[in-house]
Amino acid sequence: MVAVPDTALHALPDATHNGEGRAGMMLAAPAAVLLFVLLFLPSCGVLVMSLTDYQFGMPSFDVVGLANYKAMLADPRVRNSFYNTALYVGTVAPVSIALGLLLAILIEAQVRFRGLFRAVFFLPVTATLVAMATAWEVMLHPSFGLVNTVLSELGFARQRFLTDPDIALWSLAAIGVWKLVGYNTLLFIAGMSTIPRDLYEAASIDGAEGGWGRFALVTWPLLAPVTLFVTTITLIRAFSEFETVAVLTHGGPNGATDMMLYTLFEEAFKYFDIGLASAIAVTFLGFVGALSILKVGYFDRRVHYV
Amino acid sequence: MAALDDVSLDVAPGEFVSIIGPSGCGKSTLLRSIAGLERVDAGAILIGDRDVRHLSPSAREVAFVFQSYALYPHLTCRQNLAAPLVMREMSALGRARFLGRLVPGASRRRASIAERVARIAGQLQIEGLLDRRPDQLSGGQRQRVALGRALIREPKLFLLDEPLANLDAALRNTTRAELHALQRRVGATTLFVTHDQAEAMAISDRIAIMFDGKLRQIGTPDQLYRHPADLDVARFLSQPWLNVIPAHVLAEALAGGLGGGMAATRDAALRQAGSVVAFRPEHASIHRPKDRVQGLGVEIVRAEHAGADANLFVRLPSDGTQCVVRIASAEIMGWQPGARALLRFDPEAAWIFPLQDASADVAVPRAAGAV
Repeated sequence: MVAVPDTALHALPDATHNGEGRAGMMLAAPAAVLLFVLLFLPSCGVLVMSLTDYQFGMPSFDVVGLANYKAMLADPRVRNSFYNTALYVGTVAPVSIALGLLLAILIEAQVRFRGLFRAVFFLPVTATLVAMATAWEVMLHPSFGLVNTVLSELGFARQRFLTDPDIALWSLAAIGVWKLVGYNTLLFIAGMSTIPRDLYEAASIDGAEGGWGRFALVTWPLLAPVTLFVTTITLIRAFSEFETVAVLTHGGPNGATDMMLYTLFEEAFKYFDIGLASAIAVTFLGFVGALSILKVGYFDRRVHYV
Repeated sequence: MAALDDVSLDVAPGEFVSIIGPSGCGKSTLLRSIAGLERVDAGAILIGDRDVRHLSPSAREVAFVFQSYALYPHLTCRQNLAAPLVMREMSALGRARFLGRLVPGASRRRASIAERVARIAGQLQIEGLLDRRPDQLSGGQRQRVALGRALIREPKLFLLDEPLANLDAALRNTTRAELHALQRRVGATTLFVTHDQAEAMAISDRIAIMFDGKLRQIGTPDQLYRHPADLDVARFLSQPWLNVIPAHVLAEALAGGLGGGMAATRDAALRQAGSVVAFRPEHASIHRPKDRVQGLGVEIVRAEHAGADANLFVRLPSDGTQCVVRIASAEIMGWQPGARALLRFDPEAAWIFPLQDASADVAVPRAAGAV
């Protein structure tokens, strides 16, 4: 008969398991606490406030249910601002993504000035946008701006880029593209550098030596994870456009460039309508959150092959 | 420095030629140059009667199997197999998912491609895998798909760049046999790059061996084994290594009366300062001092078990030269480290090489001075 000691060996794995779990929790705790305090709590606060009639500086408030949301959807200013945002995002995101990809391909296709081009196109990302917006204001000035000088030299009519209601939003969109395209280009370049060289070689032996065939067979499908990331981040950044509106147009002329975050800012800190502002904030969070969840939960699984 | 220097290789139709050599010797570069993946500065590459040097890779009618297999990760095996046909036989518009239906003849071409994919999948027994993506396959299965993608175009020349290197040992042996059988069945002229000399010996009609961008020797496995052109070639084809004894050491040992029976090697060449005597472990034998045979006195260093055989490492006391002797693994216990023994080798299977061997003839199997 064999006597098997049944104490130590059984207890040991459990003990280490628990110990490991505790250590893991302790190591994760600081970050978790910070996330909770800095992100989760304020978001919950905003959510709660969006259900009240709280006004900035008031001693008390009442719960009003979805009244703020109803007011938000009925408010012509908010509706106009949502419409502008949709138009802005719908233009800036596709243009800056497509242009970023095109630039990345062109920059990587040649050798001599690769570093220079990368730096030049990345510059707007590093620059302080408020300062850059001032520079744009000078560039686009109706009388002495560089753009208008060139236009009139070429025989075109001068444009009031930031004060003409028909043009102002598109001027901001152009600046938005300028701001985002460098970052997208850099991400695409990074993505392209991870595509194995032998796939391109296999493609060239299989008959896709260059141009469209090579792009369609190798580059585009293998860039899919990067493209997805770029799309998500560009959409979110375009949604949260604020600086150019605040510095260049203040939402004008006549609300033509009013956008979601600028409206939120004005309702909260100019008119002190915290309830309405919170409702806008929650709506904004909803958009951004939905995009992120869609990316992680659905598309990520479809674009990663390896 | 040129990666390839004055390499001349003539391959007969249907022949299976392996290119072997140490890492960085230029064997892969040679293969990639033939495929058109590397630019060639001078010379000609003829496939059939056609100089393909200035043609694009796809126009050369070659197929290439990469060590990494280079399967398109986003495509199923079926699409991977079809890719070379689709890229060549269908227009960009015809390839498009929906618009393709509008192009005249596209559906007929699609059907013809599907039929050839099914046939090649049958040949390689991968019908069951056709709807999986490469990441859902094992290494061996990926390798088959890569072979299939190369074969499907019925190329004139089949280029294989270490296609078995990423497989585990057991799979490698069965796959190389299959590869050989497949090549015989298809009859495609094949260049096969490998760093594994045993693999090359096993399946090649001829072997080309390269060092430093130069072709040192080309011949049948037997020619290379029995008549290596120089010391490097002989070394490369020896397991675990080639025994190399400086000629003067051997001459001194013989003069000392240790090797009376090896008078055959007592030759003028032996006393030349710059030459070495080389012989393979399998052509050497080891004996006990009490056996009273003539041989070189050595000291046992250690023994390595290798299945049926064992490698016995010994040391010459005079200058510490290490030699290795192939013995039956059953005898391994009889040889303890530190013991004295007598080493003999078959003079018929030994060579004398000059020590500095940079000026070796290329591609001519020079019968090395067999003693």
